[in-house]
Amino acid sequence: MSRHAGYFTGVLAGTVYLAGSLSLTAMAQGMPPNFAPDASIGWYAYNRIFIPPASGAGPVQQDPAHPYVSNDEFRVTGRQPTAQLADLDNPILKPWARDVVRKRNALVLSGKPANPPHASCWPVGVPGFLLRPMTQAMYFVQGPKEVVMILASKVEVRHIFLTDKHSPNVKTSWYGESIGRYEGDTLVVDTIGLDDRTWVDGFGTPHTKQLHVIERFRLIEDGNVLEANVHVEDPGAFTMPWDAIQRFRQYEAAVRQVPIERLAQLASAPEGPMAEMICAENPNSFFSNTSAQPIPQAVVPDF
Amino acid sequence: MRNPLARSSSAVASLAVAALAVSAPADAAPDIFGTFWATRYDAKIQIVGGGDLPLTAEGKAAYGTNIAGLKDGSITDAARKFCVPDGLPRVLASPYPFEIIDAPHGQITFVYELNHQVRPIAMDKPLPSDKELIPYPYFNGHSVGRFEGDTLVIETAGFNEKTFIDATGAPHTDEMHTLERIRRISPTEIEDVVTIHDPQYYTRDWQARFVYQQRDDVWLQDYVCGEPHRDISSVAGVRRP
Repeated sequence: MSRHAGYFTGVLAGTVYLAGSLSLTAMAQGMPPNFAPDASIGWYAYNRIFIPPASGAGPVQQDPAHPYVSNDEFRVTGRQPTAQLADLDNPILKPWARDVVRKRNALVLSGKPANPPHASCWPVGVPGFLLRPMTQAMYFVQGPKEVVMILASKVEVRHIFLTDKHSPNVKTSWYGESIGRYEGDTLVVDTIGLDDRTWVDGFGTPHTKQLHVIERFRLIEDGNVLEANVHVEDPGAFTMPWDAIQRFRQYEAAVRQVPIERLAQLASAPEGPMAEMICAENPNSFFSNTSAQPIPQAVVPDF
Repeated sequence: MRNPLARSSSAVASLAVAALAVSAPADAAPDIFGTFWATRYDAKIQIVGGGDLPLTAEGKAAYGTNIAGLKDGSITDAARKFCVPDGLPRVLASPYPFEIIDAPHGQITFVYELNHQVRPIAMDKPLPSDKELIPYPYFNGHSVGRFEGDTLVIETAGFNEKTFIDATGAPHTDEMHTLERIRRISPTEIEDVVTIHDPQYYTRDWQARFVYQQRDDVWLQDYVCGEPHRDISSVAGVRRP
């Protein structure tokens, strides 16, 4: 039973059903998509690797010689997890970017840790945000002037301001500046001002401060699947613009993927509103005796 | 500002609500949504009516331990050192802006710039018992809310004991309950009056009041521990080391 079952579910079931029906009706009537018709609806990614587009330049993929088995797949199948290892032949990579990815590949192949900064509680950035909600959900809070996206696993927050113009002088930051608008059934998010400390994906693909990401979010498959179509431009790191797809399912769909005998290994949270999970609660490295970065901390208090 | 998406679902939600015999029409929401920013900061919490914290003997001892530990470094102020959540009521004193959003349906969401804290307030649900909450202690507790006229009332319990009441180290136990009453007090301001109930450490319930300016012109920014953040010098009482 859900740990919130006593108060967050139960009476809500009927509301969920009806509100869900409404969101589909609203979609049909041209209202903005509602990615959170109820507080208990969070989204789980199907995979930690971007899906390539049907044609054209696409994201870095796993090296076919080294099949990827995620921790999440392990929980479902029991197969030995493996690390992400990039296919270096992807033509989108500029030589310096390819070298960065090659060095991480070498670390992985030598058995050394090659964890992203995110593993040490640093922000994951954009578009990497979309690859993270595997063991804990991603939530949407759609206000009248802003959409907030939250990764429950580390309470990471993205702010998408519903306006048509970026600030005149955007300061670079971990999540940059995201502005958004609704186009029919789609939320279109335009992000610039991303600093260059984050990885574009789990392969360690780097980017520069010229990174420009356009995400288009919409519900498909009768509202059961959230799809993000991602367009990436960064003339500093990539030889050409490229596109990627990411898809998410709701909690119940995620649970159905797991055989009952492996439920104990499922790291997903029970259904219900976002739980409080604080990355820095362990002030020591999660990866003691490795080369992982220290977690963010203040030498002197902010105030 | 009310949320069009919340309103859009209110019609069908009200059908569900009526069917389930739950009260509180959605349109009764008070005018307390938007972006807000305090204009003053007090490291030591100010009690409504003035005076000192009404500490029990056990509370005094805990406060003394915290003050001494923070001074000699044996106790870490993790909210400032590692940017874990401030907990209640300390987060209410934040000198950084925050948002109150009327979404998703059935929830009001507080999003704080400071330490990117998020408080989901489950609306019109009963507060779980202490026994139910003990296995899941949260920094900011578990909150439920309801509208009473022009006021959003939030009850919170299920705290861990890793936070302080304020920046001086005033203590609380994991049995603390808080009750917040948030309402608009002028066209540009809201207030949050919080009542602290923690009989192990305090001889009586006591209150603190926080006033915030509506600042819908402000966009919340990233907040990463140890990195430069926005200018908060306009907030009276803030002292940066």
